[in-house]
Amino acid sequence: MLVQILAQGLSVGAVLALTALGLTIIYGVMGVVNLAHGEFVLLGAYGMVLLSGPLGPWLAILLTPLAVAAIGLALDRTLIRWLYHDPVKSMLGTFGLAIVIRQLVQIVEGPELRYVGLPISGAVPLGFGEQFAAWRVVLIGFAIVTTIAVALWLARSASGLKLRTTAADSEIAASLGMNVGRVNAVAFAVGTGLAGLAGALIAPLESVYPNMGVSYLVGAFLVVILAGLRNVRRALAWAAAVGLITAAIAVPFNDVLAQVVVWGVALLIVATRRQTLTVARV
Amino acid sequence: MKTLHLPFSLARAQGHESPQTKAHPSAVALPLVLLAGLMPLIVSGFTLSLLALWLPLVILAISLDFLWGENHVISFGHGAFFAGGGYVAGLLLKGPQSNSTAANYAILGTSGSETHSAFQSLVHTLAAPQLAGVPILALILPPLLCGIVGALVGAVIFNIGSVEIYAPLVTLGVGVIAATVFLQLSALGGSNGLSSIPAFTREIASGSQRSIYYFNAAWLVLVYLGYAAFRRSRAGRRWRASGDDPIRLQALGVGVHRLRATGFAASTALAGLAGALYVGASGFMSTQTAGVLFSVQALIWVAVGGPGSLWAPLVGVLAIQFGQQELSERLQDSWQLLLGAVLILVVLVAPGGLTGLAASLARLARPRSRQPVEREPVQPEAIQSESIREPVEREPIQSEGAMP
Repeated sequence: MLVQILAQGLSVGAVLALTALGLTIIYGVMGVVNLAHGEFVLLGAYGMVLLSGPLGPWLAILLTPLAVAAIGLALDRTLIRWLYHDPVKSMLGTFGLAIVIRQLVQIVEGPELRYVGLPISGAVPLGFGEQFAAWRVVLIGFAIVTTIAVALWLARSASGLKLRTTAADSEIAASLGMNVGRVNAVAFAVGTGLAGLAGALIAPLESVYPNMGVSYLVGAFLVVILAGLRNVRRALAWAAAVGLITAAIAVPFNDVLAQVVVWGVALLIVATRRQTLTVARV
Repeated sequence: MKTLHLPFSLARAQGHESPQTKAHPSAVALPLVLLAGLMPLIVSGFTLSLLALWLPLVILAISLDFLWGENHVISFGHGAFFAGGGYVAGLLLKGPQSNSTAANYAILGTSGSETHSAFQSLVHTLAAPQLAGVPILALILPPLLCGIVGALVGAVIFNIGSVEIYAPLVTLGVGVIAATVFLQLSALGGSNGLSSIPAFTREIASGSQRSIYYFNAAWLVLVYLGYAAFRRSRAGRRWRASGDDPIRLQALGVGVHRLRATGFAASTALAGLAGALYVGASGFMSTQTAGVLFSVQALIWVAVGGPGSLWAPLVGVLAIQFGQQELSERLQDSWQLLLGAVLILVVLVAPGGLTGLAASLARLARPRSRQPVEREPVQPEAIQSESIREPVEREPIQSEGAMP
């Protein structure tokens, strides 16, 4: 059971980490609280549904995040740019966007549940006589590799430096000659692309339907509430912690109890500490 | 040193009414009472039953506007409080159910007849005190319980920095969790919801549509009067100040955290009352109402009405609900799509909502008001030099200005 909890917790945490990482980057760079983030997970999942048939699952997993990032890029240039650095406006605007995306998906693809076959079947023996769906191992692997890649890109590359400068102060960045508009667009594309990857990865494990986005949004926000909206490292640590705690309750008991307990504990943690969330930086 | 970041206010961008110009309660009372009283003579019975259903929604919108328009706090979880109030009132109005089987009353997995009978006797006790044939606690318990939960949530929210960001996120989570829990509680009917709940007026007027309408209209007038009076009062000014500039108010010696948490609790209590009145009219409550989508719809009412304006809740609810009534049949899935688009449009183009637009139009129609809106276009470079040298001609202050 312990191994089961560890394995399931890490795979839940991996999805949380990918979504929360995207949220953190988007908020950190352009001050937009993206309530449509769950809908980009949804787009990723539907991308997998549509592409894995004709292209095969592996190519679909590579292409889906790119497609979602392209949609994100287009939306940033047309809509999100009007919502920069205004939390309240951005929340209302992106929730409107979320409703629009969800309803468009429902109109085009229908409200029924869709399924994606597991790209690799079989189970990995974990020792102690326990097994674990092989796809979850792939999912965790994908998440870790992507997270490291994004972290390295942020920390070491020239464009990552631009991103961090814009996150620190977009006006200074602009006065230094950076194309802040382009940096913002890249940040939104990367953030939504990460959500798309999360959607593509969980599609074979869960049923895919138009309203699935909300639960991922809420999960990512739980992480973000605990970690603060601007800290990548703490977001990843909390994602793993939340995943493990959720699994520790969900495996022996049930999902609903796990959700209630995790949220209760999170609110308690937040209630007992004082105003530490705004000082953290990317 | 970065500039102090103040919470954004749609209301302030629109030009917040000063306390002196906020409508006096009596100015609200007369049109509201007349309108509410005469409505049954004007509209058909069907529209009247719809209005009976929508008036509690106006109260819900007022509870949100109280937070958003007056304190810059957005809640994505008020639907849960509305639904919670509705469930409590529904259970008490229905009273103990003798014919339902014990197996249906499993609470969070712990099934059995003991839970069932304990729950039934609790409902029986609570439904006992009656006034005019109505279990009086069905009107008292919903706001009370919602207020207590709201106080706990508020204590958390206002303990975090950047309230304007984290309050929506926390309430979003609370709403989603509440909806999940309601779905699991079979005492609340699970996914079927509670149905065939009798009206509050069942003994007085045998629960006719007209009596339900008058009952809810009376409550709405009461709440509206209270809200109008509050907005003009000292407490109302303090409440607004705690949202406009919490740091300065704290420096002035006001316990801002406690004040705002109390205000949040009051808002959730009002949402609970609205839920109770709603089930009295609809006879039905399900977990859909607790969900995020309904909470957001409530925010859309306020956004369309114009947060911070007294009439916004009424205007917003009636505009959207009439629209939904007329269009949702024809558009089906596209109705939600339209609602999302409307939200985006309001946020981008008309942050003052319908009341804000009306106010701008009224200002345009009165060019001889104190602050002229239309001016001669001035060249950008001319602004600084000219406006400093020549004093701008001001019109004499009108008597309606009521200067102290």
